[in-house]
Amino acid sequence: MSGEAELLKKRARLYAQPPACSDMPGGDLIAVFRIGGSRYGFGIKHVNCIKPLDRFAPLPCSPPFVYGVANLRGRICPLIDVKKVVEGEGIEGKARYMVVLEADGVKVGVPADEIVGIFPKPRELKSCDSEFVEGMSDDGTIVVNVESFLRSEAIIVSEEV
Amino acid sequence: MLEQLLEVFKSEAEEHIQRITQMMLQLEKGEAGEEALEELFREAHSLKGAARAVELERISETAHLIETIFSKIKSKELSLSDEIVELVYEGLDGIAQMLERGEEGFDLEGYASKVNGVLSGSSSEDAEERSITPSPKAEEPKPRPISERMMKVDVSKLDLLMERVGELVTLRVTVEERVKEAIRILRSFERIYRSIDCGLRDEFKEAISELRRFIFNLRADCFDISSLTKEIEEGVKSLRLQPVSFLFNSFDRMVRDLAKREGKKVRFEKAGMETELDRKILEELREPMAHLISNAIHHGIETPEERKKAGKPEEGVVKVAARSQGDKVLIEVEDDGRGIDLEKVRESALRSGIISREAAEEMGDEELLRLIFKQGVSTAEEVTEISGRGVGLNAVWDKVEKLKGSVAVENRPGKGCKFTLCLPMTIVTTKVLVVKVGGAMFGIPASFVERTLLVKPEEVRRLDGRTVILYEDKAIELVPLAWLLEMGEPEIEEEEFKAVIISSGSRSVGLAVDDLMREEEVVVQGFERPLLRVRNVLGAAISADGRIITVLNPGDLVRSALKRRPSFKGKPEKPEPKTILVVEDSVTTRTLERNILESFGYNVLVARDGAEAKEILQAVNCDLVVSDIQMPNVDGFELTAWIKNHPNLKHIPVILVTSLESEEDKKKGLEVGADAYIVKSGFDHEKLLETIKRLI
Repeated sequence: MSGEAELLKKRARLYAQPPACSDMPGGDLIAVFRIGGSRYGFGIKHVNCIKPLDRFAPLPCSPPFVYGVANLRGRICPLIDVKKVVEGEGIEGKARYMVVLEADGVKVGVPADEIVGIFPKPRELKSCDSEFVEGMSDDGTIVVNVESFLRSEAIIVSEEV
Repeated sequence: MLEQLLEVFKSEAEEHIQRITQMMLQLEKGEAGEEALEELFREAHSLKGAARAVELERISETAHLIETIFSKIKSKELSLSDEIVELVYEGLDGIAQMLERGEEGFDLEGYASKVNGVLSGSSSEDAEERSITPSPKAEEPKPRPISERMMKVDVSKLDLLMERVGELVTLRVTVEERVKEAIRILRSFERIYRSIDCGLRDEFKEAISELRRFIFNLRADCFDISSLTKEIEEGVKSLRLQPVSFLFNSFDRMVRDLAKREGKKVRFEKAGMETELDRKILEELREPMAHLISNAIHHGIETPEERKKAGKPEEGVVKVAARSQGDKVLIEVEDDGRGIDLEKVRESALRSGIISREAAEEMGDEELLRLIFKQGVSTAEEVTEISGRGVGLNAVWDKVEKLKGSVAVENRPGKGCKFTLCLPMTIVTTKVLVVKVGGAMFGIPASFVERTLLVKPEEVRRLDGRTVILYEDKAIELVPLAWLLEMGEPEIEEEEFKAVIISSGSRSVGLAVDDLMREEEVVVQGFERPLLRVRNVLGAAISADGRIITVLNPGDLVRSALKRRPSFKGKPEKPEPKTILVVEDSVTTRTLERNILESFGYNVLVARDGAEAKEILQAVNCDLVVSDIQMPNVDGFELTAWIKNHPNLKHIPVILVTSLESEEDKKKGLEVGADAYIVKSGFDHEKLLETIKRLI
């Protein structure tokens, strides 16, 4: 119960963050999470929900970036380790949350360790050599282009025996 | 027999009760006239007759009392006062109770004296007498004309059919996969053909085009089977569809009773009654809907005075509506009451400790509204019989989630509240065997499970680093499921362990597991993008306890087991599999030999006699021939002689197999050039396998 209270509290705080110091009024917001030792940001309009990662199962015979599958309101939702896909090194141990991302009808859960907050999307991003990363902010947050991430061939699993 | 009869009676009685309730409500509202009374009388009368037919005397007696009340109203000796209406309902409830708990579950004597009291008070003296004398034979209910267009079917039969269809669907997928594999094999033959440059090119080409024709015909048949299966699936699904009116109408009484008890005026409106849903879903929805409706009346709708003050009509409205949207059905429960008081939600959540004060203060309306589905949150100030226990909406949420649906709330403070349940129209379940491996649960579709067994160490044979067990005269390869699923080592424990034999097509494999859990009916959900196809996994299901069961793909498992054998110590990488031609006229022996050899990693071709063997040997490269001796057309000796005299084939080793040990035969075999001569007694696989290994 206390875990839940903690979560709700966090979530409430997250939503309560004023879009302070926004140099772009009405500009895009990103939700930022700590995943392993990195920070990842996703455009808020693609964040469907954030849930504690309790009901999930690992998926055998799948590539390492597939963290497992989770029960999302009675539907099976794949969990994709975004850190593994981007950095080659995955999240360690059990993640506490799943961030459900949605774009073009594709729904994927991303395991995350901590909710950092909601911030305006930085204007200046250092470009990264990745098809689905928009870039990196000054504080090291990797801003993911959710649409191309979810559509990317890199996360497709299609294997025959 | 009797039990079946009682089931039939029960469903009939429930229909009568439902119809009587329906008409009583119409009468009360003044929506029905004299003819309804006639109908009521007939319903009660039929109920009485039916109960007597199955010798449920007390139910029959109760129905008789109700019938008597209706007859008195009909003859205007009684009027339909509130008291009388209550009395009828009490009787109906009594019958329902007796149906549920047996005939002792109702105080018939008390009820009879109450009814007789009312009846005698009204005028007629013969009431008491009537209530105990059975009605004369002439009054027995006439059988209702049987509708020619409809028939009643036992629901359990439909369920069973549905289950089988679920299995058929999985099987269909496997067959489609198999055809794909056949095409892949054809392609590799075509590649071989292109690199052949000996004199057999034309014959091989002919054989390939024949194979191609065969496979493509097979594929066409498969398409037909697929579309038929789909049609059957749709058909069976539609058989289980029922209009929501079945569900909605069952709430009439509840709304009336609750409103009355709370001193509220409530109009119950229903819309979209013809919308259809799977009957199982309808059944499962009864409880959550009853909860939402009673909440609406108890918490939502205000008393007439309050409503007047708020400028609303005295009569409140509770509306249930259904409509379909694609393959989903939306069900709404709406009221025009006071709406949800978010302050109360906040307080309740605080009281129950779900959230901290700090968090509670920061929460927005949306966030708070979602809290009402949490355990322990309720806006009810006291505990009432039906709602307000604080577990209600939480249970609604759970139930709907289990049905793969969702719940949304729309709150208009002071004006009302609307709950929308979004549900799938149909569900297909599959039976799976749940096994435990490495702490995780896996489901294997039960239709592929041949049997489960406890394997003792002495039953396990080790050959060439592979582990096999003998099952029904077949050597079955045994692999740890954990290893197939890439979760563990290929080691088989030295102790006793549990195994599941699965078969797909003609091939079987034994899977060693940590534990066998149970069989379970689940809805298997296929994965969606980005998981287009996962090796060995068909999909996942949510178990009754909310856990995820990964459902395995039996066809893949068999293929994986036969393909990816554990590599054994001290030996280098396995070379290309050798091809063995099995020549045998008995189909049983042929299949047996093929299974054994295949399970040891050989490519196996078969021929029914020596003549067929000759054709194959000229068309395909074989590494070894295993042949029977007695065969029609060309026998084993003749075949061996032919091979050993053929310029291109004489290097191929030939093993002659016979069931009769005869020195003469053995001598003759060696004379014609056979490399080995094996006598099979009860079929000794190991001898054959060893000989093959020695020769190639």
